[in-house]
Amino acid sequence: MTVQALRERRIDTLAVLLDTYGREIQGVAYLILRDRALAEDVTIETLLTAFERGGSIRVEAAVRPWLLRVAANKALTVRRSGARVIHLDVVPDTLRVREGDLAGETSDRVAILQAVGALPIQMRAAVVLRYYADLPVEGVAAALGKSPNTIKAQLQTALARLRRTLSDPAMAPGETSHA
Amino acid sequence: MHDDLLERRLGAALHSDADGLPFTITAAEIERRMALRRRSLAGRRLTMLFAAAVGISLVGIGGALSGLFNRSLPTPSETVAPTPAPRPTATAAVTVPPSLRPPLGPLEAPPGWTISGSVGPEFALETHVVSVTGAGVGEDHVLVVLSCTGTEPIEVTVEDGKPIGSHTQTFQAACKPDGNTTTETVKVTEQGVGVRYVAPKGAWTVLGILVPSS
Repeated sequence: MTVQALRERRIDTLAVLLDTYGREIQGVAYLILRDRALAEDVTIETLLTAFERGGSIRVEAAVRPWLLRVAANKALTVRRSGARVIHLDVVPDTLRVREGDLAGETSDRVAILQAVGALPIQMRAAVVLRYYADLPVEGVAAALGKSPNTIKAQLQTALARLRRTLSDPAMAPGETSHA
Repeated sequence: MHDDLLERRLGAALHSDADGLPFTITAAEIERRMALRRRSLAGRRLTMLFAAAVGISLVGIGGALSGLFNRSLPTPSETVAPTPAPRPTATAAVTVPPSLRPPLGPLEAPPGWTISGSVGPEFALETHVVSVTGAGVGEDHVLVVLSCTGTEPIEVTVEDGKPIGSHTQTFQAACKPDGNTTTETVKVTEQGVGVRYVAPKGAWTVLGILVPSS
């Protein structure tokens, strides 16, 4: 359905892409950039790129990884261009204690997100694509143009840092990420 | 070393953060961005064509000047074997190929109408699809204007409906070698409207979507 729409470049293609993949693309961009406005911008640019260049995709299953790859790379480009200074030690406003939520659970999530936010940008992109978008290591490697071994090493380092942060809250990251 | 519990906690934290974001992007907003991008792309193309025309002119001027210079050189003595040099013809001078000069002007809105989306004048180096979207205006009819050079008519497809593209109408725009403009009033049912056509190779086209001025 999506492949056919992309190939024919029908005018409703954008609506189809938006409905099917928009939210996830925005999630990936937001988790890499930690900025909602920039994430929306990346989402729109990703869908436009798909509309203009996605006609060569022949297999439905290839659409999602391709879109996530485009989104991650656009987000990294935005971040590298230094579009905005982001203070990563600010707790995201979407993280509120919900009814029935244990305070401990929430603080755990906050600590994890802060630790992820403090990771170097490339490593953060790998973590987001692996643990949010659920791409396999090979898929993450293809998306970021690295070897699977490099991605495995980055993910292990990221998990080790998270483990240290969670086992010793005093080590909660206060640093900002660097591109 | 695998730590499934940590990986699960990480995944859950990322989902709780990103999935809670409001999602406010609409297809209309993306279409608007696409129309803007196309307009700036058309401008860039025109600039490149102009630059190419200037380049060709400079080459022509260079050729003409070198021809003059060669003519003023002394003729070789009879002892030297004459080597005939190609003499530049007078027509190699500063003319710009007519196909690089837009024979069509940019779209101008008639009184009482406002341009909602337009593209061109652009020259089709290859046959390709051109599409333009008009921003939502809440009107029940729009003017679609196509100017074109060439000899074959161009079929113009107007798409609207919800989702956009679910309702289509077509009309034929006649083209003439020195340019012809076809204006069609189209009844639309929704706020967004898209227009597309196939620009034939070697033709100049200008397309516009106009809405009544408020």
